[in-house]
Amino acid sequence: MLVVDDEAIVAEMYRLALERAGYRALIALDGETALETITAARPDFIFLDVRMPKMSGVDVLTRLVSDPMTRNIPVVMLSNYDDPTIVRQSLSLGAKEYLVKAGMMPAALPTVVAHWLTPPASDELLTRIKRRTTHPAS
Amino acid sequence: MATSRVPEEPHHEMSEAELWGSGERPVVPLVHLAYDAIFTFVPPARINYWAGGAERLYGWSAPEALGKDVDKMLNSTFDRPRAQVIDEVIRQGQWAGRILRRRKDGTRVVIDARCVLLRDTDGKPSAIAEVNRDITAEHDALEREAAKTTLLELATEAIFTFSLPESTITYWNGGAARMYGWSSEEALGRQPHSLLKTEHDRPRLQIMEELLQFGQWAGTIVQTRRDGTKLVVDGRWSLRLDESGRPASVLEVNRDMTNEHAAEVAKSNFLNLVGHQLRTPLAVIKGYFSLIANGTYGNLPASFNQPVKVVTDQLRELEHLIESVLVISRLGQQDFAELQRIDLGSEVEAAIQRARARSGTMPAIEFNDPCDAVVGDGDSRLIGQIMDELIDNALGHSTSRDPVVIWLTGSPNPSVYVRDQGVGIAVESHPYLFERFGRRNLPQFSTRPGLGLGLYLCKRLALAMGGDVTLETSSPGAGSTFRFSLRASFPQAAETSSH
Repeated sequence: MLVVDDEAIVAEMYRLALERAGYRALIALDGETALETITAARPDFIFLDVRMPKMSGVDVLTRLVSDPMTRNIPVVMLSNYDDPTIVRQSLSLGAKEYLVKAGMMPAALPTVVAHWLTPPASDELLTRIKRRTTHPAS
Repeated sequence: MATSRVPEEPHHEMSEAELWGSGERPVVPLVHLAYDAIFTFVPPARINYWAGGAERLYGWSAPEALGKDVDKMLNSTFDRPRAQVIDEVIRQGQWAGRILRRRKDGTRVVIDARCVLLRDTDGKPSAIAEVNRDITAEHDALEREAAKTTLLELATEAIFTFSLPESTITYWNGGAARMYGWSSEEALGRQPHSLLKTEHDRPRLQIMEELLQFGQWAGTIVQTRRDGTKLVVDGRWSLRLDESGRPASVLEVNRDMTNEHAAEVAKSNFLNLVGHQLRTPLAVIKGYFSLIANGTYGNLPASFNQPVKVVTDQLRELEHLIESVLVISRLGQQDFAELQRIDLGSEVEAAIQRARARSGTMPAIEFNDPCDAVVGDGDSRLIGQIMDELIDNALGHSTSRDPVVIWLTGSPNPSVYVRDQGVGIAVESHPYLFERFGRRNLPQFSTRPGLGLGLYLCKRLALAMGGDVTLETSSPGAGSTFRFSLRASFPQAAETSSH
């Protein structure tokens, strides 16, 4: 899977938590690099920051959903900016969820991945970790 | 008066003795029956006749009045010297005007006075008769009306009325002319909402329904001046009924809040920026600390358990504070509350589940859910924040094993009650409960962490949805009951989020 975040220490923190849960996670520090990595590595899941240099997360998402090769990769937005307009735009483009980093423990990310990759098994657990900072897709 | 007549020619050059003759009292028995006060005097002001009406109006009896100076006795105030009045009576045979006087009991009376010159059988002026009518009530009413008109014209607010059902402007004050740039002549007869391009945060039909139901409406609207510039307006509307109780007109009082709104937006933007900037280091600190605490970097000795808990609690408190600042920064945004029909029972159930997840234990919460659904207009996200705060507040202030009790009512408004059986709040602290940082005035809460934003936020969030949060009952040692109410659902509320 891929963690896209322009803060290297944040991306590293999430990678660490995901790898501890048994996932292999790549990191991209900006939107353009993210698209290159996605083309090359075909990740099965993406955590995508919104405010980034070169290309924003929303722009990356727009590109992903317009490409038949990438439109089915589950994308969860993970940002500290939860402006309602951006949240609505992301969800309407096809993001699975919009999570606020400050409200998420890194250890909760594997549960999010498990939920979207194998939905039925993880519903209850996901509900427990979701707090007011989540914006689930309707 | 049979012995008197009004002279046809003025008499200027006569001596006083020639002019006023004997000064004998005229014979005027019928005037005792008149409602008006009637008396006569010999200039300059000596009373020589005092009828019953004068007694009734001024309180002085005839024996008390006769021989007295009328102007001294009644403390008369004219708009010109008394001598000038007498001169006018002599020259023209009569005078009419307004006099301010005092009754025997000292009360003020406004008099509509008419004076005529009386002559004796020889044709010589014998006295002046004065007929007084009490016009105090009419005068004061006119004064009040004039004062109101002046006030309306001087008011900085735009004040106007429009008729129903035509919705055409029927009154337009100076404040409206100054604020909108349309003169009274230009505005009268126009429809206010097309003239001012009024924009509401909800459908106008819904506002009119509220106006008809409650008789008044208050809120923020955006209007356009004649020159095309936009105004942010704090509006208060009041419905006026006709004699049969039907809606006749609406009175609008609008205050220009454009500058205040701009300042508020700047402050909100700053808080929003700061809040978001603080989230990043918080996420990093919290995230790495959780990885340290869960052993990602190696197992921690048992002695670390307590400090880890302290830091975790403080990080949660810091997160709560930052999130509160962000919520405050968004309060004024137009799309802050997205109203839809909400089942309050479901929201309360979810909030109780979250409270149990936060505590990691099973705090004693008793929820009395009524059989019938309690439904109101609200924003699920905001309702969740309010319920989280009220439940945490109740659990935090409970000192006994008695449960926090929550119940719902649907009337008069959909409401949730949250009762704790804890320390309670002294009456003198009640006014500070919902103030921003109000906790500094609540000494009994000083031992709990937090800045005192919780209840302030609850109230603001509730108000943003058209509801409220209030303290129902509280006293030291007996616990507290808070009420969170929503507005009753309007039929079309489901599709009212944008406009």
